[in-house]
Amino acid sequence: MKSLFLITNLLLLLAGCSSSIQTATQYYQFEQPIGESSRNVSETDAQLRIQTVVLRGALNNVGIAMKLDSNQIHAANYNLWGESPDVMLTASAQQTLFTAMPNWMVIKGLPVITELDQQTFYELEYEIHHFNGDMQGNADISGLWRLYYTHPETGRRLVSIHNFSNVVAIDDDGYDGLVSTLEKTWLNINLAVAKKIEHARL
Amino acid sequence: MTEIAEVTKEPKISAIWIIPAIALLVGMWMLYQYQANKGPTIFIQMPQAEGIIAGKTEIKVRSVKIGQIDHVRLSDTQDSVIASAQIDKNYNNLLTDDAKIWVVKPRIDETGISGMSTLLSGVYLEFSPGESKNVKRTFTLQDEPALIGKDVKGGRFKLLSYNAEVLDVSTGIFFKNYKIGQIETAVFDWENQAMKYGVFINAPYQNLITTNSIFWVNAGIQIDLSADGININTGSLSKLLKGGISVGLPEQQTPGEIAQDDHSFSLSQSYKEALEERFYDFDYFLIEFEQSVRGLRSGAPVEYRGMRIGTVVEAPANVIINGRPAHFRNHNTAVPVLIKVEYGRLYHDSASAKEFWRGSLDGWIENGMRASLKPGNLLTGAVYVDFDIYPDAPKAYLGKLVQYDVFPSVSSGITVLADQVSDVLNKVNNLKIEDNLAQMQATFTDYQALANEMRELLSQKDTQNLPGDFNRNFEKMTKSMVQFEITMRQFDKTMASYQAGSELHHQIQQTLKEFKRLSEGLQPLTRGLNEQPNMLIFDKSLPADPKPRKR
Repeated sequence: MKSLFLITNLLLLLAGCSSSIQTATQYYQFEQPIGESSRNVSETDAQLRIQTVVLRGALNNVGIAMKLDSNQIHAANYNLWGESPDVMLTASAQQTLFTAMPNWMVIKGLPVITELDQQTFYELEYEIHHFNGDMQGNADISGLWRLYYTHPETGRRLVSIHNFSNVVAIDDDGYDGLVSTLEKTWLNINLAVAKKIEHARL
Repeated sequence: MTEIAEVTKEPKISAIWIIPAIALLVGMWMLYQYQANKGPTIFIQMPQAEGIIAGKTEIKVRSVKIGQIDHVRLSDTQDSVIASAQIDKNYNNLLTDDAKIWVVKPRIDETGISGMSTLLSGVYLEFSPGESKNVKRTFTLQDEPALIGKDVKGGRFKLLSYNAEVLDVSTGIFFKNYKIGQIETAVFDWENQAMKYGVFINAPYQNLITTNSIFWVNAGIQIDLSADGININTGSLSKLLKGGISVGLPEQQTPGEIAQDDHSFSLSQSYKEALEERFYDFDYFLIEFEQSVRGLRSGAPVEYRGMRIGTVVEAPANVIINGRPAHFRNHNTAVPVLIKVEYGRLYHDSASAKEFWRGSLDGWIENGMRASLKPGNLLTGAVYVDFDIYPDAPKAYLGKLVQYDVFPSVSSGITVLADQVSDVLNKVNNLKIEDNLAQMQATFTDYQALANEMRELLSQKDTQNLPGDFNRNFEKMTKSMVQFEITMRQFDKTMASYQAGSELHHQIQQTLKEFKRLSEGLQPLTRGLNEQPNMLIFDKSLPADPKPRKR
């Protein structure tokens, strides 16, 4: 009984001696202010469906990526995205395009049952190769987007492919600056995409 | 006194001659008177002088003696008798060239018994004066007495008969069984093989004879066998004995114009035939048939879909073109048939019917109206001409051949059928039946061998057990299939619960999302454990993150 008491005290001592002050983990997300808006299918000319953004490999990690050199990338241990990057980017893109394309019904995810005359629809597919900051003080969002067109009689066909590379200097030091620059860059990318889709449809 | 002698010359003629002279004068006077009262002498030629006695046989007009036979002799050629007769001078004007003379003797014929008085008095000659102004002295004795005197009022008409039985002179003409006249003359026209009758209708009944009257032979007894039984109609006794000719109008027809003297009518064998032969307003048409006209006779009907519109006149038609019969032309093998379209059959007003027919004919032909031969009686082989519409017939027009219009024709069903049968037979002839039979024989031999083998196989005991095994296996298979069907239904139900929209599908989706969120939340932990396995016990010592710095 005495020996059991001594062992327990020893373990508590060891545990107390081995503990130290932990580094705090930070979570980030796009600010993405949401304006009040609504749109009926009957008021729109066409439908655009945004597929879930695909991020290459570790870029979809919740740890914010930092490019250390040409071939090395670091996923942050203590600065994390508040949600999975693909979900966050998809939601952000849908909101941006919805606002930028007033005559379109912009939706995300799987096909939505709409009016019969809207069974023809466009699909936007993002494939992100860079979504990170680098040691030179830039935020980098690069990759490509594809536009598809689906018709009930002719089926799905590819309309166009666009590569893009946006390396933008961050606004401020730290992960806050990196995140805000990434958000702004992603916003500009989607605005440019909106213009090109409108032009392609014409 | 002396008397002086006077010398006188004696007359040369004695007075005694006065008496003879007076007698001579009287005699001459009497001769003159005889010759002056004698009247003309006529000569009558007769085949024989049976009952004729010179100085006794009298010549009478209406039973009044006008003369007497005074001499009978043979003619110079000795083939007849010449009788001379003295005619009273007061009747000189009766000796015209159209006068008739015949012997009145006891006679029994269809008109009755006559001349019985001559049995005692002997025969006499009846003289029937004429109306001519020319005087004649030589007459020919008639064989038969003139039935109707010139002074009898009435009308004379002609009847032409091709098919009716031959009737005798004096046969009566009846209108509704009332005798209104009789046959006056009957002559057989051997060239046309027809009887020509002259009929006399007593006044005033000649007004009953109109242009649309029909004449038919009345048989005296008419027997009608119908669904109502046997109906026998008989006319008067004279009609029953002698028959007769009936005259009348077709039913529901009004009398036409009164026929003039010498108007010609047709005499038909019966009332029914008379109705068929009463159409005098018609046009001839030729029809050229590219098939045999055997069985087509003159008089055969021409019909339009069963309605009679005409009659076949000649089959084949005797049409001569360039001295050759039309059906033997070089470049035409068709046989022409002459028909007549009788407009009275189309409509009772022939003029309107003719106008309608002529005006519509071209349009009908353009629409496909064609003539064809149709069998009328399968037993006798009689055929008739039928008009009908054939929309698929080749185009044709109303042609012309000699003076006739030529109506287009099509081959009849019998010919078409015969052609088809002929084609089939030709094909059968062309079949290599012998080769096929040889092949069939070989095949049958093989089949026979196979059948033998099958018989042997079936006769084996093991084979006979097969049906039982097969049935058992089949029952098992049936059970298995039922079980399989139940399983597939269950599988369908199971799969339905996994389909999109189902509750289970929704739950799986939710679970996957939660699992994804969980894995994302565990990413830093798993990555840290990968780098520092004792991180759960000791404080984690992961490297610090590089800090982004703006340029």
